[in-house]
Amino acid sequence: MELVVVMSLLGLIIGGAFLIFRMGSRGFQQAIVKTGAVGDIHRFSRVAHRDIGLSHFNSAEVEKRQITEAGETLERDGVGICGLSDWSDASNFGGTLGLPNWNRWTLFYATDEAKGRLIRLETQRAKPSGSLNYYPITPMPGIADLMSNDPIQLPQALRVTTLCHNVRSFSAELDTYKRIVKMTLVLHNKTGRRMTSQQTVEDYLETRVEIYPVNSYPEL
Amino acid sequence: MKINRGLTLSEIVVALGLMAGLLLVIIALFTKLLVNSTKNTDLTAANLLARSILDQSVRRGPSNSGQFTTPDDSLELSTNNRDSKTKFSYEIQSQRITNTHDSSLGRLYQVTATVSWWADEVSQEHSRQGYGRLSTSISRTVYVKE
Repeated sequence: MELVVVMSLLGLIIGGAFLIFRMGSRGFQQAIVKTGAVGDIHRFSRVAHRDIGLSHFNSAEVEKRQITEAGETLERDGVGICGLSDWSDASNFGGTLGLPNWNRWTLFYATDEAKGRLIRLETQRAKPSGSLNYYPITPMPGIADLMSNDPIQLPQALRVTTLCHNVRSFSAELDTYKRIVKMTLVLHNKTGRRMTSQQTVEDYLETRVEIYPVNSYPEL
Repeated sequence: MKINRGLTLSEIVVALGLMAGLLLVIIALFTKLLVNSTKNTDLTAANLLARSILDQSVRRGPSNSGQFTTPDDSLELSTNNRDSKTKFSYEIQSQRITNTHDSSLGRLYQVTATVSWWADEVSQEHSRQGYGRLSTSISRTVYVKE
């Protein structure tokens, strides 16, 4: 009798400890996934504000692209804009006005995989044909050809960075009236099961960024 | 000679009670961890939104009444759950900073964007208790040429 009581109590204690451990590990897993997604969003925001915020609106171009995933249509756009190879290099500023020699294209796009990645791709921007400098500024050409799932293999690629993982959708648009670049990014993570039930938790993190390229004048 | 008499019922009850209390504390800690994690996610989205609307408002400049404004006052985003949106409400407040030394320097304003949020799903099921302050604000000093 005593043995049965002791074994029952022991079973209760071990079961309780196991449940607590399982709840804790699930809670930690959810917290870690959320923190990772927040870090991705921070990285995207910081880099986009730096690259697009310092650029020229007239060079911005958006390539619309959609994929179908589990019966849903998701946007996987790309937005390209001109940039500089090095803002601290004085030789990147020319002419009597000291205007930037826009010698780079910076492209932000989402890959078309089921779990997309947000890529920042940097390519060379040559002087326009017949021009001695980097003006006039025209929208970035050939974005669709650069939106590859393996951008490192592209011969034009100078620098490739993965800003976010688990991208559900990335849409971009240009507001030509306000002269801003609008981007909406949605990350989707499966964070495992709820702490107190077997229900699967799916975490969505959506953010909208509107950036005004401050070097949009003069409109050369 | 020492007699091994085992534990009495009261001792076991006390021990189980202590253990139950400890487990409740641990559960509460994990719940708090998730709440804070969720709040951190919303705070990130709110900070990015605050920066965007502050940029937008500063670019528009002050209205004829001398106040900075923003065209909208709220936005809904999926920051945790796909089906329930979190409503972010925001407002712009601006205050003229008096420059008594030299009026030719133009006007200086302190512009503040405040974003507050609350998830629709949470508001139906829970109270705000334990969530703390659900708002964030960022400020910028803006110079407007006379």
